[in-house]
Amino acid sequence: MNRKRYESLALSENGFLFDTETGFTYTLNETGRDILQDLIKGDGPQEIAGRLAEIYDVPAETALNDSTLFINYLKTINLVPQDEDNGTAGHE
Amino acid sequence: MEKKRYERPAIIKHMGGLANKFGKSQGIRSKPEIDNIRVDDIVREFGSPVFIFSERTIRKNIRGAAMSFGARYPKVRFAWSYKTNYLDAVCGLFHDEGCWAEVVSEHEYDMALSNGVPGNRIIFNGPYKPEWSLVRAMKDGAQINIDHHDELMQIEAIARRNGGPAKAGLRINLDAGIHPCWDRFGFNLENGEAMDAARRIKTGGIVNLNGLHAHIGTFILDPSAYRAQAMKLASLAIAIEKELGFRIETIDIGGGFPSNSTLHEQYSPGEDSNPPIDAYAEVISSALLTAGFSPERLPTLVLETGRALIDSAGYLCASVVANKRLANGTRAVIIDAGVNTLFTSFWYRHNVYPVEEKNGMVEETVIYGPLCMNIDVIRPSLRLPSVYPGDLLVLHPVGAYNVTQWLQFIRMRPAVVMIGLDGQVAGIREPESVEYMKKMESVPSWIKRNGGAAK
Repeated sequence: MNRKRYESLALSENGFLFDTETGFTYTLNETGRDILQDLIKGDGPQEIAGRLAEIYDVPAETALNDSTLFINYLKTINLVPQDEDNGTAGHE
Repeated sequence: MEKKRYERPAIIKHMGGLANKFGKSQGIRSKPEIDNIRVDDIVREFGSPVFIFSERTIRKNIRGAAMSFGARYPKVRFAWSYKTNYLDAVCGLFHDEGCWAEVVSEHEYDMALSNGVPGNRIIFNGPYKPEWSLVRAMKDGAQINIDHHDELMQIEAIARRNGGPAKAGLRINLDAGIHPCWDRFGFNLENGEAMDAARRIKTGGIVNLNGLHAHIGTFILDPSAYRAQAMKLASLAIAIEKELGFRIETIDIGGGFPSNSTLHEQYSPGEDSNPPIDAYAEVISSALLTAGFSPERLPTLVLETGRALIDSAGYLCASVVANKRLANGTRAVIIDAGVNTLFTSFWYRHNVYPVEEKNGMVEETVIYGPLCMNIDVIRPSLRLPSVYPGDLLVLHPVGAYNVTQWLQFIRMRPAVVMIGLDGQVAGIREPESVEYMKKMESVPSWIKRNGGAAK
């Protein structure tokens, strides 16, 4: 996976994101920020979902489902590499 | 350690150069209750989706409108527009508040009769009135507004057969300075057709012309159009009285006042920008009062207001079915009520409120209905917080036209309930079923019903 893409993402603690590659800016809510922070750190979807379920009042299954969809969306808008694992690897 | 409140992950791209002078909305309001009754309790009892009508709002609206006009003009009559909403419970409230019935078909006429409205308190409009329905209406003493010359001749023939005079009004179309200028109903004023029709009635000698009626359009946001309409109708009435000796007892300005809904093409929300009914009352009343009628012969002002009286009293509660992302990244939400149920989605940007409070980040969203049809779009774009399957949304205002124009298409029409003044909740229309729908059908004997099995 090409992790170079993440080097161009400047994500602040309050969820403000500056993409130095495109110049676009974004606002993420708290859980969105957590997921992107974890992706930048190199965590996979299972770890991310597990952490969300630890911190927030959400079942692990919902957390995995939501983070999978969210990572898909980040791919759609080209914020994360297309080959980033979104949690569906190995699923039929 | 107590866990934090979860909010579905979201990200919003900042869009430069798309300034909105009204500023960004500060979160979305929730609607857990209607008239102090919990919406989720109603859904538990009556299912989802479900239309909910508020008796309190209906009575408040009609009383407010009656006060607006009554304070400005001494002789005012409201006639409830059946096509706007002909549920018996709704019609019953308007009649209880003193409204006559305004109908545009023989089946609406039947409904008015069955709601206890005597024929002589029914206004019978429309371009097609079958002969038998005219015979009945004339016998009942209904106010028939003649739409075209063929109808005029039909009424004269019926009157002659009956051996007595009949009374009727004339439907007029006129240029009130707005676009589109409706000219398909009635007799045109500007080209002299209306006056000629009045002269023709005089010549016939069997019909007594007693009223003028015009309906200039729908969702008219400019009150001054009604000033022009009222002035023109009043001038015509005076001219008819002077030349032909008919006494024009009623001037019926039809309907067309907007509700507080928002048209798709409107920039700012209807509830902030649409003129109040007082604005319409002011221009119409002043136009009639200054038209030159002698005080003892002022015509009765008739209003066939529908939408402005019922729209805000109706809510639709629907359930979220699913979330998805479109190929371009747009967030989409599917709900269990489609355009077959909420027909006015084609015209309006309905307000959408989650039943439960949602404090999360709002995101541009398209709301689709459940129909397997591409046109099934309830809101093409709105800012909505994240929702989950099973979450309830309330759409408002939806009281006008939906429960008359709705279709049985792919999905059945849902239940309708009313919340009474004392908080009692009653079903006023059952949800439809396949049995109900198929009751009208039959299969000819030569058609084998083998369920697709090979011969």
